[in-house]
Amino acid sequence: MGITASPLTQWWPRGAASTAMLAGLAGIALFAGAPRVVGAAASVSNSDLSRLETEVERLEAARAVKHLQRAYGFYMDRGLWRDAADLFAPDATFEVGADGVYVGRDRIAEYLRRAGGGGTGLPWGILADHYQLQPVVHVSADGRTAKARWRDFGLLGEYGKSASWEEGIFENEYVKRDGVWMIQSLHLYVSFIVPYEKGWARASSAPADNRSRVAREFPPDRPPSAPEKRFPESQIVPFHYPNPAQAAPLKEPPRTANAELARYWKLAQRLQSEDEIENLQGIYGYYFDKNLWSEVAALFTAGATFEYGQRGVYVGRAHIEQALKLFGPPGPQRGWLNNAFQLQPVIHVSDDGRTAKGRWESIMQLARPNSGGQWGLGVYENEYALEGGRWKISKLHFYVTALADYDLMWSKGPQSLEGPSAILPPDRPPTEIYRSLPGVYIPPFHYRHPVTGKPIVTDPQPADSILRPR
Amino acid sequence: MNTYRRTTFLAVVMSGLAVSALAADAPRDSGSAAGSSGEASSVAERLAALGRRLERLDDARKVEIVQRTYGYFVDKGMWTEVSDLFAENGTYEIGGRGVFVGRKRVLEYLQVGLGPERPVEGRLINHMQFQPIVTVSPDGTTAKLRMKALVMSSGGWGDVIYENSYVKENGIWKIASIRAPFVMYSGNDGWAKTTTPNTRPESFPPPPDRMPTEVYLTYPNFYIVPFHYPNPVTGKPYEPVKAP
Repeated sequence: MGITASPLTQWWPRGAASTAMLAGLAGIALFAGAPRVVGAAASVSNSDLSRLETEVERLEAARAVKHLQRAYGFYMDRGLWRDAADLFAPDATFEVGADGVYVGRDRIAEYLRRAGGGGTGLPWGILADHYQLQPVVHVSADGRTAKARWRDFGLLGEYGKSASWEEGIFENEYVKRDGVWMIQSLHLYVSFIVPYEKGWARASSAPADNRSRVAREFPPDRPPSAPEKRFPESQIVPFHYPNPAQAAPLKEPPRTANAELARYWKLAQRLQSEDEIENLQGIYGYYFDKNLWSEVAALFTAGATFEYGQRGVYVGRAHIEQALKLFGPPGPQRGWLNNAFQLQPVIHVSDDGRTAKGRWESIMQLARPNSGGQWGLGVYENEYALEGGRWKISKLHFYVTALADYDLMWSKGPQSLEGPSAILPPDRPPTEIYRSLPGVYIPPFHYRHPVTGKPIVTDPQPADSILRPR
Repeated sequence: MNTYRRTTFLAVVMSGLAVSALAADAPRDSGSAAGSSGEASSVAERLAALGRRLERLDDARKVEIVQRTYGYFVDKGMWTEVSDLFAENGTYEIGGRGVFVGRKRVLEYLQVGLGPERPVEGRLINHMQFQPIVTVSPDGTTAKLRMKALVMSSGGWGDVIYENSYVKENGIWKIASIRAPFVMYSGNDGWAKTTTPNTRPESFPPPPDRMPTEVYLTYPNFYIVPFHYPNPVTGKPYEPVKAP
């Protein structure tokens, strides 16, 4: 699936100058009365155009919402509180962790100013990184509002004094006013803020007042909307969406005899499929975090395959749901963490629009009761298919590339992968034999080099220090 | 960069049509205008405008794929594949190492400066690519991107903010420039204890072609990588803030 030159690049006026000219013409034509059907687009009606326009606006909205939330992250990590506050609607609400609800842009601005140390830009020695990850975005049918779930991953600290990990889930709402998307409500459910030295697995279970310094000095307008449950409690943050298996099927694009219109609908449909698949894989991660195995299993096609590390291949939705229990008892469990970040998507939809492939990067934060915790890293190379008009996972292959003991880290504490289960054997052995770190395996790419168009060569697992005779 | 921004901004402000409704690009998206004032333009023009908007969305996605693929290649030390993502005259600037000009020098920086091709046993150098904000030019031939990376490596942690640019040549998006100011480097004992100051042009061979774009210090010091886009809600361009 190499990326090829678009046949459309020649088709419209180039450059800002021609754009401005076009706009000028449009302005003049404003006084010329009703639109007239002319030229090559003779068979395109106004309602055809409105329908396509609605679709284009929804696609643009999904991207605008992602950009908005990411812009928030980029302002917050540099302490630019005024710019961050300006992203909110005048009547927006803001709630982080146990701090309660702040209402209105001015109150939010003051909260952010204090959280950022009081000045523009961060004070010396403060680290406030908040990576905005794993968007699951749904735009309303009328295109005026949107909701999104995000993962917040924080590296926080004060030089010489503290370093902490933070992890949490956003459930946010967005609104379009006068053509501009703004944040209508932001709610970050904090899962944990833990010291670097001990990590998440040893988080204290003692009841604590988790309000920030800011909330103590600058009280909220309303108390927290829900009691806070931080790790080791398992908190299922409410989902703004149903399981995609229960969602409305994708609409087929309208049939048209006009070649241009048909081509645009095909592109629109592909872009929409890419958005749906990005949502689907993000949703998979949020369920996996909390051992919601039946929800995870519902994301697969009936005949799907599931292959995780060196555990072998499980075939069919029912067997996949059983296999998921290898990662912990079903449902939220105190002291268990299966955080499975879904990152860095590269998605390609097939030409007929019925199947797709996707590569993803994953960071894992793992914990079991009475353990010190683990880091994990890996790459997904997955396949997707339309089933009943809904995108589902038809093949999940997660290449675990590194696992490490939390305290010993990558150099000193790499851990080997688990093999096939004796209790619940897979249907097939692993499709590829490889070793995780310190091994040097490169998971294969489903796509060609995006610039050269050549296949990306990844060597098979080389003989390592165990297999290699000395 | 200023010219680029002004041009984009002008095009959006002057146009009653939604030329590029990417949030960062078109703070005042004109979706409503296309339904009212835009109605006066011919059906062919309106159809063309919709096609253009779809193409810009597709361009943004392709730019993200190039940058994300860059991350997958760097993770595994696939230096030749990395350099092949650049345009012939593409530039590359990591941390404080100065600017390397052209695809060949990019490859030299990677192979000489960072070590052998392909993964090394026991070494982890993941450069994970997050949080893209893409701005595609109205004509779809250039793009800019702000992005973050988290470096998780055998040696410790790194936080990078990219401000990159891309060019479309014969329909293929390529990297025109990567500017990757690290803002934090720390060891395995965490950023409260060990941080490494920024690299410099002479930190390790080979030498760069040009001085660093800006000389700055990493955490616990503070540097704001300039934003290529205006505030997506107010539309105000970024005005540099001096470090406190």
